[in-house]
Amino acid sequence: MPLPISPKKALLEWKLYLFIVPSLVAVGLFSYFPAASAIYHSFFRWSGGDVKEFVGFGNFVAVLQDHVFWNSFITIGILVIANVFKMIPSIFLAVLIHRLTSDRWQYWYRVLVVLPMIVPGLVTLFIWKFFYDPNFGVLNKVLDATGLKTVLVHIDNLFRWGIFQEGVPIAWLGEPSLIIPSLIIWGFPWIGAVGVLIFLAGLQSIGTEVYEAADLDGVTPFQKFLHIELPLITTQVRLMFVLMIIGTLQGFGLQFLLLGEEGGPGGKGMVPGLWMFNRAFLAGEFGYACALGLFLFVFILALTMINNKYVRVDK
Amino acid sequence: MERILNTIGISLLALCFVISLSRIAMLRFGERTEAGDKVIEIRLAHWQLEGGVRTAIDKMAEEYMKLHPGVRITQIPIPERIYRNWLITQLVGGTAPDIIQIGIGITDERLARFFVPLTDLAQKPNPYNKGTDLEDTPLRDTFVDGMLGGFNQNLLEYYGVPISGHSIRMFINEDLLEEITGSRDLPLTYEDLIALTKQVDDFSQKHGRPIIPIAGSRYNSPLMMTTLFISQTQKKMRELGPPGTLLEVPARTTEALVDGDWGLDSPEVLSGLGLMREVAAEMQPGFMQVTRDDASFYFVQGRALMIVTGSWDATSISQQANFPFAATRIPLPSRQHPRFGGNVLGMFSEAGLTAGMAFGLTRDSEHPEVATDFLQFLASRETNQLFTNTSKWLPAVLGVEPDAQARPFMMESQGYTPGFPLVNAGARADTSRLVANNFHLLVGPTGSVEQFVAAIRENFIPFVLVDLTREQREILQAIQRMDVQLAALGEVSRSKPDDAQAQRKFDMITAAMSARDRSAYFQQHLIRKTDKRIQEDSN
Repeated sequence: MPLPISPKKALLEWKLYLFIVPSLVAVGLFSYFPAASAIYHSFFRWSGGDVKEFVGFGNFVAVLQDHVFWNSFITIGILVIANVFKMIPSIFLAVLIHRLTSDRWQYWYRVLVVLPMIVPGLVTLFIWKFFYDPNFGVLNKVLDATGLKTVLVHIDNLFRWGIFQEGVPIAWLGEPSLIIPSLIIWGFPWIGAVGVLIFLAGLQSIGTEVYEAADLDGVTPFQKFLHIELPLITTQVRLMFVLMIIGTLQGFGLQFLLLGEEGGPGGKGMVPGLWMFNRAFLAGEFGYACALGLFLFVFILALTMINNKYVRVDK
Repeated sequence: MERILNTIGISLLALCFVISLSRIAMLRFGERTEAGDKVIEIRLAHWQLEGGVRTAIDKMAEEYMKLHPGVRITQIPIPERIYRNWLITQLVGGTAPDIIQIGIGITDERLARFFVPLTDLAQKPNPYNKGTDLEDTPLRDTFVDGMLGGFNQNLLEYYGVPISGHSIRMFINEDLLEEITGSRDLPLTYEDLIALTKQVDDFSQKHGRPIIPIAGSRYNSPLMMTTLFISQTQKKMRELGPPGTLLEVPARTTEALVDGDWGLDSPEVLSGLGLMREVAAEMQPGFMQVTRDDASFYFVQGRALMIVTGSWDATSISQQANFPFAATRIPLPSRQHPRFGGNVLGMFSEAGLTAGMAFGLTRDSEHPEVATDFLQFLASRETNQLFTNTSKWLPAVLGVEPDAQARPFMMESQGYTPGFPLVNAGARADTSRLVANNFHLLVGPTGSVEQFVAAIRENFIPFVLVDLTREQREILQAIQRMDVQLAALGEVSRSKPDDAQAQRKFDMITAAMSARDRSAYFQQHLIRKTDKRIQEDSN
C-alpha cells in the first residue's frame, strides 16, 4: 500500500493535474451525467421530452409489481448459468494454445482466434439468425442429415412435449420452449476471442519451473490443468465471470435481433434490458425505464460485490 | 526500412485526419455558393429503403437544388427496424433533421411537441403548382385524399405533407402459378386461394420440390391475417353504429368492447381467429420468426408462390425477381363459404385509405422557411409525377399519372366498409404485446383458437386500460403544451382586436383545443368504463 503524502507535497506540481481534466470532463459528461440524469428522471412520469410529472417513488413501486421485469430474471438466470459453462471452451483453447511448443504456431493460433473479431457482431447475429431459419437454416439441415431430428421426435413422443414433429421443420425462434435453448446454443462452439486472450495472458505468466517440477513429479497433462493452470488463472476467470454477468444482465441485442421487441413467443426471451428498451421506446415510458435501469444497476452492483467478497482467489 | 514504414503510416494517418477534419469543418461552417452566400442544408429523414424511393428523392432534391442553388438537400435513409429509436433519440436530443417522415414512433404528444403544424400551409395554394389547374387550389385540396394522410384527428392539425399512396396486395409468381395449375388465373375468393394452396402442396410432393404456398413473416403475415380477420367483423361493425367514415374508429370499437358489444368470445371474433389460423397453415412453419426480408427472399427466389405485402415493396420485388408477378386484392371468403361466409359483407372499399409517406417539419429546423418551401415543392404535381415515375409508387397528388407498374395497386373505391381488428390502431403497446406474445398459440402447429383466447382473456381488457391510460396522458400533455401559445394568442387578439390574422389563429387553436379536450374527456370516460368493467369481471 503506498504511503500517504501531505497535501502540500501533493499540490507541489499542481499543474500536472490539468492533464487529467479532459479525461475527467469526458467521463463526467458521457458516463456520470447520463447516469445522474437517469436517477433524476426515474422520479418522473416522463416520455422523453420537456413535459414531465413528478411521481416520487411511483415508478419504483411499479417496478416492484412488474411481473414481466421479475420474470425476465428467470431467463437471465438461466443464461448466466449457461454462460458460465460457455466459458469452458475458451479456457480449454487457451490452455491448448499455451501448450504448443512452437512459438510460431502459437502466434498463428492467436491470430486465428482474433481474426473473427473483425467481423461486426451484428453480422454474426444475422448469420446465426439464418442458421435458425426453420425451412432453409443450417441447424435444421444438420439435424435432418444426421438423423438427430428423428431422435428428437422420438424423445418428444416419449415425454409428450409437443415440440418436435416429423415432417414439420423446427421453429427455433417461433416455439416458446425452444427460445432459451436457442439463446444458449447461439455462438457455438462458444470460443470468445477476448476470453481466450485474457486466459492466455494469465497462462503465460506461469513460470516454466512450475511445469518442470510437475514433469519431474510425473504429473499428467490433465492434472497439470487441474492443479497448476486453472488455479493460477483464477484471477482471469473471475474477471471474465464478472464481465460476463454484467454483460448478460445488461445485454439485450441478441434477444432484440433474434426475437424482436416483445421477447418472442410467450415473451420467453424477455430479459431486463429488453424490457427496459420496450418500455422506453415502445410504450414511451422513459421515466419508468430509468427506474428499471436503476434496479438493474443495483443488481449488478450487488452481484459484483458478492463476487469480490466471496469468490476469493488463493494462489 | 522500419522507420520508412512508420513514417508512411503516420503520414497516412495524419492525412486522413486532416481530410476528415476539413470535411467536418466544411460541413459545419458551411459551403459557399458562387455568390459567396452560405449554403443552407435541409436534411430529410425517412425509413423507405425500398427500391426506387431513394433515387426518386435524390432526383426531386436535384430538381429543387437546380431552382435554389443556395440550398443543399441531404437525404437520411434510416432502416425501418431502428427508425423509432433513432427518431425519438434525435427529437429528444434536439438534433432532429429539418424534415422527417411521420409515422413510426410518432405519438400525438411528440407530434405536438416536436413538429410544426402545417394547417396554415395547407390552406394556401402551392406556388409550385403555378401554371396548372391547381394553381389557385389550397394545398390540401391538391391531394387525392384531401391531405388526410398528413392530418391528425386528435390534434386537429395538419402535420405532414404526403407524397405517395399505398395499398396492400397479394403478389403471385405467374410463371410458377402456370407451372402448378396450368393457367394464370388468380384466386378471386378465399375458397379459390385455399384450393390453390392445396394444389401447391400436391405439386411440391409430386415433384419433390418444396414450394411454400404463401411466404409468411412477422411483418407480412399480419397484413394478410388482419385483412381476413376484419372480413369477419364487417357486419358487427355496422351494428356498432353509423361509421360516417370508411375507416375504423378505434375509440368506438374500444367502447363497444368495454360495453360488451363484442369480445373474445363473440362469434365474429372466434370466426376471424379461425380464419387466421387456417391461412397460417398455408405459410411456412415458424413464419413468425422470419423477417420481412427473408419472406421477400423466399418469394423472389421462387421458393414461395405468393406473398402479401404493400405496394411499397413492388419495385424492390420487380428489381429482384426474374419472373413476372401479378398483384391482386387479398381474397376474402365469399358469402357462400360454409364457415366464414356468414359474417362477410364483401370486398372492402379502399376509398378510406389515406395517402402516405407524409413528411413533417420539425421545430428544431434552423431554416423552417426553406424546409417549408421544399415540402411545397415535393407536393407539387410536377414533382409528384417525377416521384411516381422514378419510384413506381402510387402518386398522392391529383392529376399525376401513375406508372404502369403501379396501376395494379391503385386504390379501389368500390366496396364495403371493413370491420375492426382485434387490436385497434394506435399506440396500443401493451395489448399488442399480449397478442404478439401469445400469437404462437393461435398459429402454431399444436395451437388452437381456444388456447389463444384462453391465454389472453384474463389480461386483454386490463391491458386495454393500461394503453388507454397512457394515451390519455399523451393527449393531456399535448393539450398542456398548447396552453402558453393559446394564452399568448389570446392576449394578442385582446390587445389588437383589428389583427384579423391573430384573431383567426386564436379561433383556430381554441377550436383545436376544445376538440382535444373533448377527446381527453372521452378517453377519461372510456377509462372509467373499462375500470368498472374490470371490477365487474373480477367479481
